[in-house]
Amino acid sequence: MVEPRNFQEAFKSPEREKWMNAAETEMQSLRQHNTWKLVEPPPGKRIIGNRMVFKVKLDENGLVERYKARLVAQGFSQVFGEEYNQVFAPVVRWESVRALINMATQFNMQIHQMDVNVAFLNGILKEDIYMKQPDGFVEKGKENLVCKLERSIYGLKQSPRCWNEILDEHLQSMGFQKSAADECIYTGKMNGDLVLLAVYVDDIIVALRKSKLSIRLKKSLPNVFQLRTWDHYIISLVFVLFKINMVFGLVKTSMLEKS
Amino acid sequence: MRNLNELLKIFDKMVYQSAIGSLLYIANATRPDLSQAVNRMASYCNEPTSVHWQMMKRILRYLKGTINLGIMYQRDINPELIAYSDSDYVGDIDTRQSTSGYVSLKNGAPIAWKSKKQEIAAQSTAEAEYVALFYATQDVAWIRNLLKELREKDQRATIIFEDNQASIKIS
Repeated sequence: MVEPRNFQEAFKSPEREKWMNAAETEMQSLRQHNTWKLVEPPPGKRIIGNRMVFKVKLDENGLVERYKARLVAQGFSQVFGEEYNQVFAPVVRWESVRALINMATQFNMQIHQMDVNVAFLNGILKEDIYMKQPDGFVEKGKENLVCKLERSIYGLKQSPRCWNEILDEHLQSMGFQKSAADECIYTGKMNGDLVLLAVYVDDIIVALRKSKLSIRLKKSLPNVFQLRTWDHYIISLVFVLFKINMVFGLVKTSMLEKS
Repeated sequence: MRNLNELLKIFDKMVYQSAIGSLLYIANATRPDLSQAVNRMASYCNEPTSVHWQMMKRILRYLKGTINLGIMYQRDINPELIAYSDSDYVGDIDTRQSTSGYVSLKNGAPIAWKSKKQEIAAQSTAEAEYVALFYATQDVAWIRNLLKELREKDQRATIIFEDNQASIKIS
C-alpha cells in the first residue's frame, strides 16, 4: 500500500475516500482547538508552509488499524529569535519508568497507560507565526488570507516544549509534585491515595492503588485534554505489562519481532 | 558520479548503524545482558568491517534465542536496592581505556544499568575498578533520590558489590 506524500496525491489515490476522511478528522481537531485564525498576510512576515502527512497505522499484529492524517507545519523554515526561542522539552528516563513500575509492584498498585489525543494542539504559542492555509482546506472567499497560529501545531520547533509546559501546569494545579530527579515523574495523592505518573510527551503511565481513582483521574483530565486510555497494559507498543498476582513484568514484544 | 563500490559501502554502513540503533534501544529498555556487547559494537559505527558484521550477527542470533527474556519485578523479593559494579582492564588496547559497568536491582529485577568506556586510562586493575565504583555510585545516588520521591520508606544504605580487594580497601 502506498502512503500519499501530500494532499494532492491522497486526492488521486485509489484509497481517496479513506485518506479524505482521515484528513477531515484532523481538520476537525484543528478547528476544535482553535489552532489558528485567518488574517491578512502581514507585510514582511515569513509565512510558513505545511504538509498533510498520511500514515497507515498498524496494530501490534501488523494489521491495518486505521488511516491517519496529520497536518504539520514546515518548522525548518522557522528562524531562531523570530519564530522560535527555546525548544527543549524533557522526556522520561528509562530508569525512572522502571523505578516507577518497581514501586508500583511494591505498593501493590495498578498501572494504566494513557495517551493524549492531538496533544500538541493544547500547547499555547508565544511567538507570532503565520502559516499558509492547508492544501485542500483553503476557505472559500478567503483565499488570500493566512493562518495566524495560536496553538503549537505539529512540526514547529517549540511545539513539544509548549505542550510540556501546559501539561506540567495542569498536573501541578491538580496537586501533583514534579520530581527533582526526573522532570517527567510526578507524584501526588487523590482521595488520600498515592498516585505516581510518568510522562513521555503525550504518553502517560499512571500507577494508582484503586481502580476507582483511575476513573476520577481520567475524568479530571479530559475536559482539558482528550485522553484515550488503555485498560490492557500496553506501553507504547513496546512493553506488554502483565499482572499476575501482584507481579508486574516487562517483556519486549513487537519491536523485537519486527526487527 | 560515485562508483558502485563506494555506494555499497555507504549503504552497508547505514544498515550497520541502523542495526546498532535498534539494538541500543533494546539494550537500554529491557535487556541489561546486551548492554556491554552493544555498547562495544557501537564504537565501530564509523567503519564497520566484515569482522564487526560477524559480531553483530552473533548478537542478533543470541537475541533471537532469548527473545522472551524480560524484566519481572516481584513484591517482597529483596525490596532493598543493591548494585553490582565491575570493570575490565585495558579493554581497548589502542587507547588503553577500560570499560566498566554496573547493574542495580530492586524487588528481584534490574532498575538501572550501564556499560561505559572509562574516560581515563587506568594504570591498574584497582584503579579501573575504583573508577567503575565511582560511576555506579553516581547513578545509585540519583536512583535513591528518585525512589525517595516515589515514596520509598526507610531506605537503608545501598550495598554496591565489588570483587576487587584493592579497590574495596581504597574506598
